[in-house]
Amino acid sequence: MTFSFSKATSAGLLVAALSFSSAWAQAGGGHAGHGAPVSLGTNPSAVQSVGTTPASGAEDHTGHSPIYFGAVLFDQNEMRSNGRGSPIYAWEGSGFYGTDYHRVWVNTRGETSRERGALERAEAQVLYSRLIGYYWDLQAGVRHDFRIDPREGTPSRTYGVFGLQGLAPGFFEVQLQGFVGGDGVFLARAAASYDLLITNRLVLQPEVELNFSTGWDRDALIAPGLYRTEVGLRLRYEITREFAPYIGYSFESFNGGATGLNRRLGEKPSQSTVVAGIRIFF
Amino acid sequence: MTKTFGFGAALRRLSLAGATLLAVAVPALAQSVDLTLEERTVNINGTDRPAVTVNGQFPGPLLRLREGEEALIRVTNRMRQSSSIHWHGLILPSAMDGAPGFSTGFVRGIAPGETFEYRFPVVQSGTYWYHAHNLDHEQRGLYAPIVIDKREPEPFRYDRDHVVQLSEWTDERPLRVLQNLKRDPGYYNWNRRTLVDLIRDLGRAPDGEARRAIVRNRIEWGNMRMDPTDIADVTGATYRYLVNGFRPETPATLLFRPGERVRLRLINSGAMTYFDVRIPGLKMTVVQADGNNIRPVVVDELRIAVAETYDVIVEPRDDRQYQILAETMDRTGWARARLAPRTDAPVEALPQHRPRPVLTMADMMMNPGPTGLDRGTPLPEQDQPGHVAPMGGMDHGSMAGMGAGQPQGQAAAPAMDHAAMGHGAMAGMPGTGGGQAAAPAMDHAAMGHGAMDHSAMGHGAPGRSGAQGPGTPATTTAGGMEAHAGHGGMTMADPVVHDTGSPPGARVLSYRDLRPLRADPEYRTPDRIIEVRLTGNMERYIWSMNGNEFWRAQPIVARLGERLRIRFINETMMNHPMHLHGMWMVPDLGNGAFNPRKHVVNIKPATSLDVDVIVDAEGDWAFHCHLLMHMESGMMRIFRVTRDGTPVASTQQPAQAAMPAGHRH
Repeated sequence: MTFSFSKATSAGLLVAALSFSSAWAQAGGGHAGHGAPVSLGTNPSAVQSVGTTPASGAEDHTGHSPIYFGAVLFDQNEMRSNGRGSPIYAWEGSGFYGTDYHRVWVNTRGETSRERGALERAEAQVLYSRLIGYYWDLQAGVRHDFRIDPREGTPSRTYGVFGLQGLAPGFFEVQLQGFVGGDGVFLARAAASYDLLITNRLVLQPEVELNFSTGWDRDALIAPGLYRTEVGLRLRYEITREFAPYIGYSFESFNGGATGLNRRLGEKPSQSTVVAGIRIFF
Repeated sequence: MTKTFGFGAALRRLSLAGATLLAVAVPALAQSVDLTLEERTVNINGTDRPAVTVNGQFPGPLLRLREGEEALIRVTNRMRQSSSIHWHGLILPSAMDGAPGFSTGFVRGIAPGETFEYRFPVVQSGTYWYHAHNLDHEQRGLYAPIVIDKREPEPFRYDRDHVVQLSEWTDERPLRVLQNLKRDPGYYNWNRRTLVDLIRDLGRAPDGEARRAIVRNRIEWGNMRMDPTDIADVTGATYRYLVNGFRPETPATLLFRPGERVRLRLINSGAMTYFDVRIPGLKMTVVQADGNNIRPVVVDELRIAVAETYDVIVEPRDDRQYQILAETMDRTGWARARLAPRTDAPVEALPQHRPRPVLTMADMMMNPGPTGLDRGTPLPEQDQPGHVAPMGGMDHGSMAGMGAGQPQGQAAAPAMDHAAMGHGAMAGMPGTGGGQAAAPAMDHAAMGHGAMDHSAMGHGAPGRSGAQGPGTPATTTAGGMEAHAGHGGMTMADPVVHDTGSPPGARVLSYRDLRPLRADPEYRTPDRIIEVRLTGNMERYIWSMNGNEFWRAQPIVARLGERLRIRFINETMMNHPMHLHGMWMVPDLGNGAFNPRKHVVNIKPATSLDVDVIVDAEGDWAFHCHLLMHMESGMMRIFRVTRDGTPVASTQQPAQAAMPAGHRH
């Protein structure tokens, strides 16, 4: 119906224009210099007075100062099912606000518990982000891992974060982060993803994340070396840039010494899940 | 007397574009006009959206001035934000230029409720336009044509006169569009290269070598972190393209009688869109560019950069309608009007889009200009670190070798060898690189020669013939483009020849065709050269000159009376229509005193062009890329002209904010 409405409006414009032009045509070719201001803008179907439109600071922008802007992306916003038990909800998202060069960056991720359905673990990072070169941001800030249930799950931890985030040659989104914890254990995380455009709207996104540690943090299920791996493959359809439902596959695994830590808790050290969700960008 | 005569002549000569929304708002004798800026809703796409209107009109009313008289224009701002009107291309005192933050006494523009009185002598004639000097208001409708009648009769004859003002409309807020681009540079590009395209191209490839080249090409673009389909930042995904305010579905009708000579005043008032304009069935005789008369050139097609104007004369002989087709450079939309003997003719269907162009590796191969990579030209300021030249991943060593006219046998990419060959030939060196060409590339190399000759022409011989060729259409149709790119294009991009994908034999206008009627009396060698690199990055949507955005850049300072050569070097993959307020720019096309005077000079991706500025107007002037999203992102400078060439305090500083009495009401 939008279309027909627009058609009608345009038709109105056209009619107005045609009558206008025929008037000119009849008047012959000599009217150009005359002073009588003729305003087609009075055509009521096309132009009406707006009372007030709220003025905002942003609208005053005239290229004389950096633009402040922000974005939020929930790259993972999904239900995960391993075929047994009830599915869990998991998310991984980030957002920023600032200029091209200086930004406040927030990363967050977490998931619900398979048994209880309540939030099981969550992580949040607040970072200052500084552009270096055209493709990379240098970031520093804090990360906090929340302990949701005081009786179980991993304990809360706070780390100092420094990292590098950007676009590597070949259009790989890359995130490298180092975490300095309270126990003197140094953690590192490397993540990369790639958007493979099958068509302009159908996008296959492989993604890898590797977590490393220099030492033991048994309560937090952290062991030296590579202790946790995440691999994902998600196929999304971008209905708009903002809204893209997807399906995919995710594989999470504890590695090395962390395998044993998990087993002691009665958890399987690795699991594959089928995921379905909606990528949100705004 | 003179006035009356001129007025009568104007009456005889002109008939206003019938179906345009433009009204004649100016009594030609008084040269006094009131313009009121107001927000009103328009409905372009079926939704009411707030537009900026001038005297209640969208787009604004035609402003008609007469050369040699004084213009008195009172602009009242009835909006809630400060606004401004800039008289694009007009030579006038800095205080009357209407660029907030630049023009003397015009720091914040016209505040809400205020009236600003513009008063300036009209010293030129031709087709120009006016617009708000900010993204938000201009994109939302504050733009309109200016027609300045010449004091003497025009050197060409015409029976009728129509304005064809191209523009775009988006239902989104313009700043929202910019923010979308900053958040996701591909936000509006739904034509990126995909896996499906790759499979199709591989399927069409004749042999294994071609397939390898296609894959290599993909990898090279990926390694550069650039997208060859990025032809326009903002596309038909959000824009509707308009002529005189009309959508292509309901085009403006410009009347003619068969046999008449019709003057079309083409104005690109788009914020972001380049148009390829053609009128199937008619040749266009270009008689004026950017308001300056030129030797008539007959073309089939022309590409109009943002903010340029071209006046063309057409002679429709048949009693039928002709479509004025303006296809966006990225082929995602049409603007169109029609020339028709009657207004009641049915609207014809739009043709199929031509294949979309894609950038090739050759397009991205930096053309270092006449001096090679050894530019030896001082920058107007210290560079900021962090800019990346487009060829970052490629072998610069061999480029340097090319500059020296010694093609080297480096196998970095076949393209390099060919480029080396081309360059050697340009420099008059023996083309020793030829033997290294991969077999499938040879014929392309031959084709590329046309463009090479053009380059040579542009920088060397002042002869006329350079522009006469049909361009290089054979290598440019998009269908073959990606495959060609795999072999590497054979020549570096010509700084002024456009590949519009026109059929073979069609003549496309290039800047080299623009030759003034008389030798420029002010022509001389430039007093000094400065280098302005056009820098930026699509991935982050950052745009700047010499790596500095407006807010952290020094003004470019010029001395009154000098002739300053700006050596533009476009290091980005986008076209940038560079605009200088208040003074003429003269692109050096190798035609000496017959180089044209322009107010906008387009700098093609990865090319270099020397542009002389006739520094004859004191004050602070805006100097910027006329893609408004780029300007708003910081691709702008203060161009400061002082008597002794030393910097003076900027009008941007509050201390200088005092306004001359008498211009505020």
